[in-house]
Amino acid sequence: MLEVRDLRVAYGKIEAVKGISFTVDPGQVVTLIGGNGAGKTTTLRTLSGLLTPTAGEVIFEGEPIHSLPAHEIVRRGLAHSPEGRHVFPRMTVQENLDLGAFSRKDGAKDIAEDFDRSLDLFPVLRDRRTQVAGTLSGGEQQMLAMARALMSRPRLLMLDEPSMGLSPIMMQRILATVAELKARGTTILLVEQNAQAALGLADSAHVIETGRIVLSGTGPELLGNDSVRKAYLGEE
Amino acid sequence: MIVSRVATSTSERLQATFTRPVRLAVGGAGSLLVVAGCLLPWATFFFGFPGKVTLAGFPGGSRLYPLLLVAVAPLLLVAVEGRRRAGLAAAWGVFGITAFNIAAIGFGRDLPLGLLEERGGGGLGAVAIGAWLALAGGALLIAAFASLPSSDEERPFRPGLPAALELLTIALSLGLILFAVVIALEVDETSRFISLIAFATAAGMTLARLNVFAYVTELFDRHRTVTLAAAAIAAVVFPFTQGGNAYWIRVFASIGVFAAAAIGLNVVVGLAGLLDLGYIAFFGVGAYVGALFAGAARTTVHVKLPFLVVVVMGAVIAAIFGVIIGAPTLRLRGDYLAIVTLGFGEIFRILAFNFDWLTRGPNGISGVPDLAIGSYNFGATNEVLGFSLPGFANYYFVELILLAAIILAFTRLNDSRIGRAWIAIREDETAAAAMGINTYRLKMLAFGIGAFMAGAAGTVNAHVTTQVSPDSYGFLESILLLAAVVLGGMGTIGGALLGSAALFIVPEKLRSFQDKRLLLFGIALIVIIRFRPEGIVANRRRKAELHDADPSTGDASGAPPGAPVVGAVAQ
Repeated sequence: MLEVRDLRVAYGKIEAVKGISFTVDPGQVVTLIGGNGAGKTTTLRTLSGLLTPTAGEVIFEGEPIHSLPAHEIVRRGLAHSPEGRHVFPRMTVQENLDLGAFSRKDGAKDIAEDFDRSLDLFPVLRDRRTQVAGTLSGGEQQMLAMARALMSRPRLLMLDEPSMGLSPIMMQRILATVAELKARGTTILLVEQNAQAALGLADSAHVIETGRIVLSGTGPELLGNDSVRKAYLGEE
Repeated sequence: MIVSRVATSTSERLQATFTRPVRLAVGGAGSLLVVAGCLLPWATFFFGFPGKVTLAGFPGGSRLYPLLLVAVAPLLLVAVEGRRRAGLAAAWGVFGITAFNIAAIGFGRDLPLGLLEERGGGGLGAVAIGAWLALAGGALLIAAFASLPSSDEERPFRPGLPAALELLTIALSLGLILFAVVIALEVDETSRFISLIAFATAAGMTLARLNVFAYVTELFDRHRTVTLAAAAIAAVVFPFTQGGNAYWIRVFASIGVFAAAAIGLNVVVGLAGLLDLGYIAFFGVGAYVGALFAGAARTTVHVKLPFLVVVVMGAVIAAIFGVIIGAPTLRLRGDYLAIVTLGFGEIFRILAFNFDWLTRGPNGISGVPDLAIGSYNFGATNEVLGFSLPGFANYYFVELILLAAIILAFTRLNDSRIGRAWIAIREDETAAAAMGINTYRLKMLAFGIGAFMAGAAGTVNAHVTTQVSPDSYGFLESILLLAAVVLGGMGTIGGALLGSAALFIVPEKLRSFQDKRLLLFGIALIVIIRFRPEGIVANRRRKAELHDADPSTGDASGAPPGAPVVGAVAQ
């Protein structure tokens, strides 16, 4: 479904991603783990067109998308829930979700169905439909960001640090929702600091360090890997 | 800080000592004193102090304003008890206006900053008994209202009227606004105009604190079509009320042109959130195109094209300039964009100065002839239904049509998919891009549409002013236009109209302020941004933006949740 080949991204002269390759197959959850500054967020931002790669290819459903602008990529079914949530703070929950469907050309009926489905996934948002998004709690804003990304009816959903900055309880609820999305057959590319949870969900996982993939495997494989346990799961 | 603490403790002491009968007695005495004071002379001897303040028995000059304010005071004290803050606004208005006039009569032009150029200056001995009585009455009223308990003051004002009466209220409110404008235009003396502004502020605050504005706004919004139609009729009727005098028609035509450009800027700044500091250049492009192709007396292009063609041409050329300037700059964000547009604005002015072969340099293009459609000359005076209409009324109507078209375009854009995308870009450009919004193209579109509107307004302006020169399109003009938008309220039509009107009428009235116009405007901006950052006419979303951390300042027009706050004219 998604194939990344030798992707390189630089901010000016500083190369943040130094040749990354991986694939995401339909229905899979693929996770990228790694420390701060490893290049995970840069990778996602490049895939969604917010950044332009300096080299390499991104093939989505058989077509190269690495030179397309962001709005084209969304239209093709690759949705991005960015790091730090980025909800529209002065718009209501409803307006945020409406904007999530901005790129869609299909009918209002289909959009309304997806709207209901998103709210079923996050019942809290249903109660807060007319509330201004900036007044939601951090966890609720994260739910809104995910629901909004789903409103574009993506074929592949990219979640960047969905549990960042949340209380442990809220973190669990968000990750449980990711698990539910997986159960429904959504294809997900997940970047997560909470490596334990991410690896538990992942069909396949990649460890990124300073812009390179240093280790790949299935989720359970990496969970059992000694160096991963040391570096990312805090075990001696 | 200290002052407010003293004030608080004073009102606490007042609340403790004044029982209801005492309060009513003090308030009643204060009201009577103000009424008596306003009917007695304010100046003992007359040596040219304007406004008939020496006459007894009728409230000439500024004496009318305290009298009008005091008309509501007993009502607030007795009938609707608990309106402490509303009453205080009225009482302070009475006190302030009287105190200012005492100063004006006593010291006139000796006031700091050369505040008044009129006579006066007989010292306090020139101030007559009436003024002192009114001042004392004002002080008593302040005490009476301050002694009210400050608890139950948030009762919303929302009488359940039948629909017909609601429509009547709308008509009355619009009539009142029109009446107030006509009154304001007729006030000539500086001191009286300042008193009038003080009165308008005090009366406005009183009404706002009674939630009357919120109620009327709600009505306007509920009966939108009626309101719009009534506002349109008022605008069309205005020239007929001027008795053949062109002066204010000319001023309003200028305001209209300026407002059209301000609404264009509102698309760029208010909707898309792009800070453009060189916007007047597009207005200038339109004005030059308008003047060059109108067959002006002193011009470089000896081609005369039909007016409508020129308007479209000016708008399109301005839009092309907008796109040329936008293409490289709109990839920048925030501060950078502001600096680059500022530079481009200057480039336009300098080019206009130096391209003598086209623009005639500093001399500009002048002698733009009157428009003529067939044998109908726009410069001639016309008799319509027995009313004499000065020639300038024709331009007023042209400007009205332009303004109506631009307002229509703005509202349509605001409610459209494009409008929502602009707001998303303004709020969070990264998220907007991630939603599939083509941010670059939409920003270009905002820039182009804004420039198009300014260009169209500019071509009309070439005929309103009959001449075009580079100095009219400098940085200062860009800033004033931006100030009009911010002052009036970003993202709203009413705000742009009100801001432009204030920008024109206030300096026109305060002639002695002429060279301090910017000082005055700066002070007004600071005051507005301190107390009402969303502008006079608030946009619902922007109001939420600026007040969500501070609910206490949202009282000025406590609209019910979900009800858009729109201004007197329309959004």
